[in-house]
Amino acid sequence: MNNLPREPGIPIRIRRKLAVALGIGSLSSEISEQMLKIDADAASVNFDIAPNMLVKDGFAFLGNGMDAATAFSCKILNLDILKAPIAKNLVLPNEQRARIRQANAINQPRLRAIHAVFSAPAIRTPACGSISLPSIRTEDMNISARTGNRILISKILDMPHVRSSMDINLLPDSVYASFLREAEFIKKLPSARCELQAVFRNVPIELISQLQFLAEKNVIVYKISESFRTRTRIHDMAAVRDTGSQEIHLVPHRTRFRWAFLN
Amino acid sequence: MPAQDKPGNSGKQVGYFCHLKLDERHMGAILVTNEIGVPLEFKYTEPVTATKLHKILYGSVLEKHLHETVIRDRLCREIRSDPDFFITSYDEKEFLGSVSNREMVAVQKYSLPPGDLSGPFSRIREREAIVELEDEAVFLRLAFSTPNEAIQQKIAAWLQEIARTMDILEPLNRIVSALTSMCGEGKRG
Repeated sequence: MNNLPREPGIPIRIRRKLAVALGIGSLSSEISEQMLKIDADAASVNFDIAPNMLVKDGFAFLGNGMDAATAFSCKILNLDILKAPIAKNLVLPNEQRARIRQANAINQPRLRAIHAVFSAPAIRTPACGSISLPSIRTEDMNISARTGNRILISKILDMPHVRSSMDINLLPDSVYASFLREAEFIKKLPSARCELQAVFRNVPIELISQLQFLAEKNVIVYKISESFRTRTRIHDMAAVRDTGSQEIHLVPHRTRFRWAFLN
Repeated sequence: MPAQDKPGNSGKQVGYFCHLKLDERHMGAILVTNEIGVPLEFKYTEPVTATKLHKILYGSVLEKHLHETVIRDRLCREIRSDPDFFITSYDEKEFLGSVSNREMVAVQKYSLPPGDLSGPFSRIREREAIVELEDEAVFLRLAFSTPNEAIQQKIAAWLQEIARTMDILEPLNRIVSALTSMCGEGKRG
């Protein structure tokens, strides 16, 4: 007790009682400096009131021992002990001026509560029949195609073949002239007054049942007759215009042909 | 053209695949012809329409699924003929594959000034080439499903061969006409 700090303005006996009332027992000057520094200039203190100290957890080492003989009334209303415990609102009865300056009592580690493990979720099972399970439909997801039978092969066989002319500007002069000679031989058209309108490659003239030349499109449209042949000749054919009459004649080339096999 | 080619001893079968989309309806057909374009076999599908739910769930793969699985694979199961390859329009080049284990080739006519190509077969991309038809100054642009150049050249040679006896692309127009007419009948019905 002799080591109690000699705070100016506080008589020694009061400081002793105050130390006992706070439960710090053999309060040394070192402890008081580090843990609870009291600076109070009290002119008069009512010693008749029993000390009523509320100490929060972590500060209990200061002691709960309240000496009843100490008629010092001291009430600590609130102590914040996290990290740097500070005693607040120390109310001294009949005090005129009281302060608690320092409360670095101890470096208490901060306590943290961490729930590292998630609590297992509750599993609920609905009562049977309470909620009807939806029906699962899968048939809508299957996109499927059906083969048809509305178009018969006979209909396809009867469809006209359309053949476009090749570019007659790309014809060699010799070929061009040979077509004119064919027109002169077959149609008796003087080559001097004829010109080629179109040339069609590989026309199966032996199998054609209907043949039409569409001058505006420069195409021939034809149908193929049913045949039991196993092969046929396919000829190059020209559309020759008679510049005198403007009539167009279809002239197959007698020597420009190939054989084709019919499955 | 060399006049009066000597006849060989075998005929070729030419396969055609066509996918047609009219409004929201998808149809497909396979036509197999002989080497002058006369039909030997024809199979087609009834129109298929994807529902709103199909469009949502299939998303961006819907078109591919319709072209390749729903239409083409279905037709493959029905084909009895055995053409060497299948020709389709160039628009179908994104959906190329095989039909009954036969390669497909997408074809369109192509204009090219004479002398622009070094040979009758010119690869322009890994899966594309330009082929010149024999003595016609006519070019075809081809898209393949395979990057294998040997197979590509084989297909190109096959096309050049059948181009000597028929108009390669003309049968595709007949398929479209047939499907369109059938679709029109469906609408009237």
